[in-house]
Amino acid sequence: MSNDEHINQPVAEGGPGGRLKAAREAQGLSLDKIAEQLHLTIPIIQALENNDFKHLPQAVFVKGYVRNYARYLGLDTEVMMAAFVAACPDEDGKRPLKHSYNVQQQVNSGHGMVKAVTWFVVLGFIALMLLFWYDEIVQQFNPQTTDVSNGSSIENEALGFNLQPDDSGHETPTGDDGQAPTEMASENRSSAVPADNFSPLQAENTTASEAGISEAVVETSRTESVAPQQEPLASTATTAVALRFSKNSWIRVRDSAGSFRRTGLQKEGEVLTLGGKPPWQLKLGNAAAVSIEVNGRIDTGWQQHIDHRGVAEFTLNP
Amino acid sequence: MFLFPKRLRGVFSNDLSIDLGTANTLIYARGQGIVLNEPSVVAIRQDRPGGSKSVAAVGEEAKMMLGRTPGNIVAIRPMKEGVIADFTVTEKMLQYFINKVHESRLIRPSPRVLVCVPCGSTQVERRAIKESANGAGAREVYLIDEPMAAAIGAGLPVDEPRGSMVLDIGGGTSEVAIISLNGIVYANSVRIGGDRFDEAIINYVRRNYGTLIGDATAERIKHEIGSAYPGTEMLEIEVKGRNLAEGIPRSFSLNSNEILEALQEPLSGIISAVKTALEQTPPELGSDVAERGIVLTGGGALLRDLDRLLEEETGLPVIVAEDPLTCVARGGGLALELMDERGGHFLSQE
Repeated sequence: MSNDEHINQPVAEGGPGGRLKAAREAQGLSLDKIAEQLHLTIPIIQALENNDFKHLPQAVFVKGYVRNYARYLGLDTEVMMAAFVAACPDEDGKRPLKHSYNVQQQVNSGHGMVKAVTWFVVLGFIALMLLFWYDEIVQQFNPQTTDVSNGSSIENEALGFNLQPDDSGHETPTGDDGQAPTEMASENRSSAVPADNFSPLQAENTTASEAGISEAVVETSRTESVAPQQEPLASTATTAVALRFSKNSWIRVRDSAGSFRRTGLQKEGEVLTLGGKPPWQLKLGNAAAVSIEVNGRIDTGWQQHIDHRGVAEFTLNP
Repeated sequence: MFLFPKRLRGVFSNDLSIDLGTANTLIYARGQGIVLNEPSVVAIRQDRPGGSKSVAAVGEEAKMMLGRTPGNIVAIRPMKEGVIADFTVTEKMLQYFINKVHESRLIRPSPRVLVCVPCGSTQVERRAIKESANGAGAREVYLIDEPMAAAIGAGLPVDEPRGSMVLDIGGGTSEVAIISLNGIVYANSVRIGGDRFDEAIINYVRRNYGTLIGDATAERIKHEIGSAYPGTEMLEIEVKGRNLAEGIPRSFSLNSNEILEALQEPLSGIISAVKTALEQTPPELGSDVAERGIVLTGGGALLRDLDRLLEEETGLPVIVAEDPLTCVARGGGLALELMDERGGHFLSQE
């Protein structure tokens, strides 16, 4: 076996260890001599030559032994190292370190999930800020068109004839003027009537049926006090009030029962038909641009309420 | 620049392991590997006497200036023998390096930082390193003993109930330690390192050739022909220095045997530290070391045939770790990862 043959072979059938062994034998060196020179034990040298990684320590040591061995034999250390790294089965020095006790895994700021969540929160926060800012701008601009800026939020609610006491109770706080108490009173009165109170006939029936019961004195008197109020309501069925807008105008309308309300900007050319029970509390921003029609006839009597700012605030009872 | 609190900014920063060495500073970023390897040198400019000082250059650029600066610039190595010699300059240097690693970031970085400290450093020196890392913008600072980081970085089985011996030869200090079960059983630090080798070469040349050479030349001689054990081949190098008798620069040649002779004194200091460590090691761990060997890390491990010298002196197998220069920084990075998973048992107390 010639020396050159084995050194020039990339990886012989004996693997990298086989090449070391062949080179050693070619130079006529014994295992004892090598072990003495490298300060290693004979079993380790044998394990190296037989590629027996089970009986060798960690990769860092094996690489060092191979480098020293190859250098001693005058082989190319880099080539031998590369051959051993390729032959080494499991590790290249990156074995995960074990630990003697378990400590719960902590999620730290470098964790990808934490980063993603933080970005999400930050972006969400920025989006909310933008939304809030946009709302502010819109609120500032709309009331200015009518010169009425009392800071109330824009609400466009047409509740129609909803007389549920719960609902009206919820809405009272959203009203922002000093008329809340009277509204409350009228609501209480109407809510005391359990049944639909738009039919006077029914109301009279209730009165009649309850008149005979002596215990229900209080209730009867309440129902009676409601009864006269319902007559004008009946008359609204025949009174049609319409507001025509020749220009944009900010308005606030509320009927006496609190069931019909409209607050906000009315566009040019719109017609608003008032519902609910008269009389209506009206506040017209751009009053000159509004005409009121009662049963198809134009009513001008209210125009005396227009103040120097062009705002009219009055009660309409046709 | 956004002024978010450190904790929030930390989300946008990487965890870093810093090997704040006397000669070189290495930074390992978690998940990225070694991201910075620059000399620990800062050049400070002061245009008027008593005027304000500013940083002229840091790292590689500043090292080029060492010994070649005009009057208004001073090139400083702020670390001496593994510890801080100039607190403010070290802080500036760290700040520069941390920012350099996070160069592309919009938000000022505030990483968690693990700094490797020599095991022989005092509490005051450790506190200084911690404060300077804090001052450089770190959110949290952890310290780890250098030999521990070196052993982890070299791939030693530090977690096993087996003695592993590591010898880390840095720029300013050499540390020898026996590690078992994630802890240091014995550690010793001697203030001998690459700088002392350079110094020994300068002294040798002055004594034998009557010629003065600079630090950079001495370092080049060490890299090119320095050796710790008489080898078969003799290397030669041509150097130029100022002849002390004539006062004129002269050229002369040095060979590797001369350098071997020059390095005898610092090398014997390291050998005696290793021998002391072996003497102090409990017998069970000593037999583990004798069976498997001593692992060399740090820049000093690259000195030619240092492993053979140690083998001859101790009679034990000596192994040079792969990529010995970056072992400490890589080990620190691994310790940082393990710390998150299993708690900070590797870390040294302040």
